[in-house]
Amino acid sequence: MLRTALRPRWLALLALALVLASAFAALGSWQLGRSRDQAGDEPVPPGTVRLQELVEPQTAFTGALLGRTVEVTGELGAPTLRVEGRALDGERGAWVLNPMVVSTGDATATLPVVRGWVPDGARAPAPPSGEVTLTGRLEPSEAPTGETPSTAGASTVVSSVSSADLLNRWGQPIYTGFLVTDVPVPADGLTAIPPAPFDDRGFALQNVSYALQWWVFALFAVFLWWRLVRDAHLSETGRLEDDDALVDDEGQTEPDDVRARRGVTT
Amino acid sequence: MTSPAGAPPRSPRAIGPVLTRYRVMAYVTGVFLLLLSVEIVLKYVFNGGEPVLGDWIAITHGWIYVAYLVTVVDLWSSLRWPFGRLVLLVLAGVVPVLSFVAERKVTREALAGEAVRQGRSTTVAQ
Repeated sequence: MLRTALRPRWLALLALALVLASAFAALGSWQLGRSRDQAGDEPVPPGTVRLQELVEPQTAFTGALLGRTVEVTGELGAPTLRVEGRALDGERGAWVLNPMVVSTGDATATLPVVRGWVPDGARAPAPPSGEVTLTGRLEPSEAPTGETPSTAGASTVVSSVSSADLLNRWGQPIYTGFLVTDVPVPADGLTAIPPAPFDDRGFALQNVSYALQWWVFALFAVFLWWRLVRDAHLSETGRLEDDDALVDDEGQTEPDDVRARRGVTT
Repeated sequence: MTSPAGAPPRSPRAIGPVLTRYRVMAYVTGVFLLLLSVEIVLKYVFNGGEPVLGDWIAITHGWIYVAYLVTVVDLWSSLRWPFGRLVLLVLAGVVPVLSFVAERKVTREALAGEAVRQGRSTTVAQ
């Protein structure tokens, strides 16, 4: 058996089986990674941090920033953008987004701030003037749309909160990602936006399930190699019949006999 | 198995149960694959990526496919079919409708092989 297994042909096949198994195992790990991303099970550190201590403008939005509660002082400015297509409790509406000018020591940078939600058709109140201190959670940038913003009445309408789009619109330096305030700013005329639900456990379960399946497939690949080697070994030594194969009690192994037993009729 | 009454079984492992297990799994896999295809179309074409019938279909289909593979390997190794057939049967479980077609073909050939074996044994016995 071992001598059969060590022939170049079977060693090559073993290499192939192991490559396949590794690929399956890697796919399993990838699915597990996805499941973690989907479930968001990295705990968000509690507590409020000043924005400037946590992140610099014009740097990548890392996973560690996701959902962090930050406090930031600055001035909310024009223009007010409506981010359309945002349902809340089943009602259609829009997020209200403004740039906030934040001091970064010797310079200033722009932080996109979503300060609340309005139903479709309702006017968004103007932001408070002067310096304000806000708390809220950091969210990653959405995908850029490259759209030209349309105007509906007095407000400019966009469909996504994209750092790339906002950079083009507002200029740099800008923070990547955006802040969603904990309470609407101002409180009148706006509704608070609850955190995006991390209740997609079903999808996470799906990924965990796929991960396990890939690992089962990896074991299959190795098992099949072993099975093929064993068959080759047994047929070489003229003992094709074995405990779990269909046994021919004459012990004959002439080719047509083998073919008949395999059910190969053509 | 249709060995004559009283005759010692000709093989320690009858193909019948192995084939039946494969056939059952081929059908179940085929049905779930069709369900999954419908769900994927509904989810991504009509519902913007949100599940319609539920994620349980994808999860269940995955494990049913694993069980299907076990029956396929069992059948393939019991019948000592060539390796290419194994590959075809493995693929038949992931292409919609193909598992039904494969099941018919496999059953026909497995039973034909069995008949040849039985026939030969009868000849030898005479």
